[in-house]
Amino acid sequence: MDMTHKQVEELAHLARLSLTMQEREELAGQLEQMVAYLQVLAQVEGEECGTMEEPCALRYDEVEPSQLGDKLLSQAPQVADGYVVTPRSVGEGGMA
Amino acid sequence: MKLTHLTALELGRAIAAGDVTIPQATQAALEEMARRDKSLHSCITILAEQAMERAETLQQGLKPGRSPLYGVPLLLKDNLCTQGVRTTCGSKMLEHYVPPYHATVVERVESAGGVCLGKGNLDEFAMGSTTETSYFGSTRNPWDESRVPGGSSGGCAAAVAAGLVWYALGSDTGGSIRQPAGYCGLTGIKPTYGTVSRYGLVAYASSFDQVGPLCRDAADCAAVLDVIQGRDCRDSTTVDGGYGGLLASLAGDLRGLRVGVPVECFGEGLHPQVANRVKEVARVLEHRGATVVELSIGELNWVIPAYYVLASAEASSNLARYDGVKYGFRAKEYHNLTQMYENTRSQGFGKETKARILLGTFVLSAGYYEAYYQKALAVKHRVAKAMERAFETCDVLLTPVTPTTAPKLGESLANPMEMYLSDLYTVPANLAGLPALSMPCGVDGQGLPVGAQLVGPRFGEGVLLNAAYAYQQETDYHTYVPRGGEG
Repeated sequence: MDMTHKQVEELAHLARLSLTMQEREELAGQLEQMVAYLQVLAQVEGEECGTMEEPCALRYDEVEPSQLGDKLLSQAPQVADGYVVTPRSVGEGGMA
Repeated sequence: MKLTHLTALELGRAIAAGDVTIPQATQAALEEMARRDKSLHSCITILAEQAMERAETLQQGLKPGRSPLYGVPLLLKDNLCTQGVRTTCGSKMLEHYVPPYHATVVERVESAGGVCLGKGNLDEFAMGSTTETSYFGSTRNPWDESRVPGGSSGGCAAAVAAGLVWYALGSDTGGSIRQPAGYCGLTGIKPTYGTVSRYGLVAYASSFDQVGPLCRDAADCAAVLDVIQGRDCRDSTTVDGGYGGLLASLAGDLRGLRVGVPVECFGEGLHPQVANRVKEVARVLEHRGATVVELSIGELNWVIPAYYVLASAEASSNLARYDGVKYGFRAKEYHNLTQMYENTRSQGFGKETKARILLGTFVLSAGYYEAYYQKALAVKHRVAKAMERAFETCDVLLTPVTPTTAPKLGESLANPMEMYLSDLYTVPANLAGLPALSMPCGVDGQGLPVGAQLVGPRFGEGVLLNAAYAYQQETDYHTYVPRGGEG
């Protein structure tokens, strides 16, 4: 299939990436080539995928003390009063 | 023989016997790094001071009965979380990220007395086959510095091959341990999915990712796997494989072993010199008592498209977490939340990562999910079944690791499609969750290492390691040292 610039732009928006003109050109070409190659999957008959995965061993959901809180917070790009700071997500949040 | 050319187990024995001290070994490795790593660029972070301090402490705790790897210096791929030491994943996104915890495998090698010398370079978020997509620059192959070391664990492979460390822990999603091991003349193993904990391994494609060792020979791989394998309550996909003691069970007896050679892996695209070297492995194994059978696994023709659909889909989901909020890079300029996400991700990720995120987003999007993602899942299932059937008639499969030896720097990125196709021999083991080992089987006309791959049934690590061990008793390719590493 042809990968148009508009399609790449839509995918980029879904993935929250803003691409430069040059990136859009290059990535459209690369994606188009890849997607064309993926057409071979159309020959695979049936869609059932069975249940090959082993069931995971679950652990008990128990509360345990963690000393990581402050250390984790120290990795955040912007923090105030023990909270992570971001632009507003309501009202002025843009098209989220 | 030069200290840095010993195997990890040989060094462990020398340390235990008191012939070498841990600080001496650590110092020797750090000196080698200082001499060679400016041009090789195998490490993103070198922990010189920290490693020397730890070496002194470990030396004081030396006593009989310690792990066979006690005191042996190693390198960790920089997608394994290390408490207090930055873990970049080869990305600008995590350039300054300092994890507050250790990955389980890091805890395990430390408990066994490992001395971590640094963090190995890798393709950004382990996405690549050359280590050229790293934000921190390319690693070079110690066998020929105009060539790539492979990827994505290319920094680890180059460092072990060049004698900068005695072993390394890498990760393998589609061949990222085996392919660089092949290009650099090392023995590396991707364990059965669920054998080694992924806790603290930064996720690329969670249903394929697996941590494993890159070493100089099969015995070293067995020793490292003994240390890192096992159930972990922090990774619910780990299982108790019921093995261990891999090193102790190496015997080299191959009588009765059935080696399957899939015809699909010796067809078009395979360089004749690589094919010849790998076929020679079959003859050596036969000489040691194995029987060789040819077989066909038609499903192998679909593995590349299925792998890239599934791996990209999982990557696009896993990498959604890098949004500039909780950790990692955040763009400086933005006017609202969406723009902050977009600018952060656009400036923080490199081109190859963006390409895979977009591909993953595409195959998961409405209208394409059934045509690509579901079909790829069906292929995954079929490949697993086909491999199960193959293991009814043989005990291990023998294939090349890659169609060619290491390409020149820049060649692969100029043609990404060709780079993806070169994963043909390694991805089936990831799709089916099987163990697979890469070992050196000679050199091509230019003196570059050729790798042979052995694939086994679930939890068949012991069989693979034993076959490789027997092969390495019969040959000396694993002892070859790259030019520049001698002296």
